[in-house]
Amino acid sequence: MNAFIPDTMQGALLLSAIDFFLSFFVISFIGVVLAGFPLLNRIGAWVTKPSKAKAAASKASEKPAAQPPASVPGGDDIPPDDLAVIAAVVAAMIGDHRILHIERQARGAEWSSAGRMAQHHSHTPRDR
Amino acid sequence: MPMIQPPVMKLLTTKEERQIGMAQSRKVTKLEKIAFPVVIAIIVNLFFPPVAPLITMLMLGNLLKECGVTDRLSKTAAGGLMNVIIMILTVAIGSTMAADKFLTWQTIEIVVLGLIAFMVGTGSGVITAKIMNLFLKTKINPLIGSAGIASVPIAARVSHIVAYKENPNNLLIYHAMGPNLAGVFGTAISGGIMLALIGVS
Repeated sequence: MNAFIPDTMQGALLLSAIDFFLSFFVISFIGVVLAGFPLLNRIGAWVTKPSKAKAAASKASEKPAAQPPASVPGGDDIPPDDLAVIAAVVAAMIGDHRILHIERQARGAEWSSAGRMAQHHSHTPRDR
Repeated sequence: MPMIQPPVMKLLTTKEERQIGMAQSRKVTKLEKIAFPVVIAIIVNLFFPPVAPLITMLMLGNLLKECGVTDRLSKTAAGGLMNVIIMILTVAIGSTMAADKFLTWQTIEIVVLGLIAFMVGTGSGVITAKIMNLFLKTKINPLIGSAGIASVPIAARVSHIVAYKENPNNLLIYHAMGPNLAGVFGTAISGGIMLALIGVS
């Protein structure tokens, strides 16, 4: 301990009192900083405004993305209404996209790995 | 905590004050959640360099969790790494607790001081909330002031449970987590500043 605060019970109580009032100051300071955080949202909205406007304009000029593929490999037995629903749900979840393949899930419980395999094989380079 | 705090909270508040309901807080955006640890770390490191390592590590853990792209690191820090550190600290501190040093009257004094500190901290938080209510148009429930004790999340849960018993429509856990975490940050920073500036060895 230094010269001002003795290494006794009184010193410990003095340290506690100093820490007590210092905590009020520090927490108030953090509160003042946090009070300015809504301004961050405005700055973020202002920064992303041009890119959002650009994305909206390109979306309007493009064809609708949520279209089921004209030919669906392995999906001939799927009703067109179901294909349209699937495409609409995918569009709502992930936005602009291009559906490569839709088929009935007959591979068991590991749907995620099955989807990954199907996606990887869709881009397999061909031997020429 | 559940035994020490409720009597103090009930002693310092009226039934009407304990039943004050609080509206849902505003939605916090992802930008704010990511900016918070960065901003606090920069400010603390600029103004309070002695506590930079402590606060930067605290904010690093927060940032790992909130940025959303470091899932593996966040799980490691919150899981395996934290458990290893807890075990090492427990064994290291426990190994210094020799009977002749631990089983003394001073130990009991320290434990009693700790209990008194909890009670004083609880009471001061509740009284601070009551003072704030003198100036605020939208009243806050003074019970959340007791959550300023930096025991996450027990202090907040105690505030929530006491308020819930008074008014089952009152769910204060999220509101109480605010002062709870403010207590963590505030005491970490102020404690580090005090130890560094006063030069306590």
